[in-house]
Amino acid sequence: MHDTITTYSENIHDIAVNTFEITCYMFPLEEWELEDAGDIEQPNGSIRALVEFDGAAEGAMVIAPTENLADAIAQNMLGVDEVQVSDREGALCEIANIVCGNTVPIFAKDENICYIRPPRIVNTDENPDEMFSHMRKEETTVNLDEGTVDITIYYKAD
Amino acid sequence: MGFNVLIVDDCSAMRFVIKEVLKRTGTPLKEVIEAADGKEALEWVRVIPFDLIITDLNMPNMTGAEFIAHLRVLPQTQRIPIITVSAESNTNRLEVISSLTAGFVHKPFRTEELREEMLSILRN
Repeated sequence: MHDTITTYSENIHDIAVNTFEITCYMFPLEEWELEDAGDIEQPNGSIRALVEFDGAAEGAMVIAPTENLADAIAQNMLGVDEVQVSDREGALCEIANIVCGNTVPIFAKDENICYIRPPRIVNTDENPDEMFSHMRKEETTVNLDEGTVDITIYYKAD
Repeated sequence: MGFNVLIVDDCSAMRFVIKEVLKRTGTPLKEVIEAADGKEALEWVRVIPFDLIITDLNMPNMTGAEFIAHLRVLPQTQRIPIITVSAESNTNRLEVISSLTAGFVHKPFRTEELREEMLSILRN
């Protein structure tokens, strides 16, 4: 069981790194960079995107970046220095959609169809841990050169 | 003279990226219209004769798959080339969608991949 859990987290981490590299031109910090960086700002949940999925696998993914990273995602995708809140939310939702779309097949057995629902921003009064308390949970953190993002996936086990 | 292209994606940042890639094909463009979902896109196809439609699959109100299905039954739209750009990974579902479209680009994509896909259609 432990091996399976490790694989899920590692897979999600790799998918997220690939997505950020290709879509936002952001790169993961090397171990020595992490050591040199000292205290790295952690996501505080002020902006989070949620994608639910059902069908062959049921669950949800939450992506929570630091404020700086949320800005940088939109800036890099749009190629501008100043972004509006709507740009920031839209860009984060798109990243969540891509990471989730590439992750869900890991949970959907035998190539059965899984439906990814449109991503949305999590309201400040919503608590995904409570919303999906009946599901299993996996977490990973990705440290990028422009900030840190926490990714949580909730899924129903067989 | 130029091509009419419709870009359908619920994310404005992604529509921007796709539009930028489209400009980099160097092909002459006439109207480049953006729509946030299949429902809005269907309204556009009734008024503009598009040469190419680039659509996401996972969208609110009307998904890309539903939008494509509508296009393929309308006489005036059934021959418009469509490129789907999506994070969808299920091979069975993609096979069905691919049978109705001219190309598929998997998200995350490198801009060169999308550019090549666009060029292969616009050049013909």
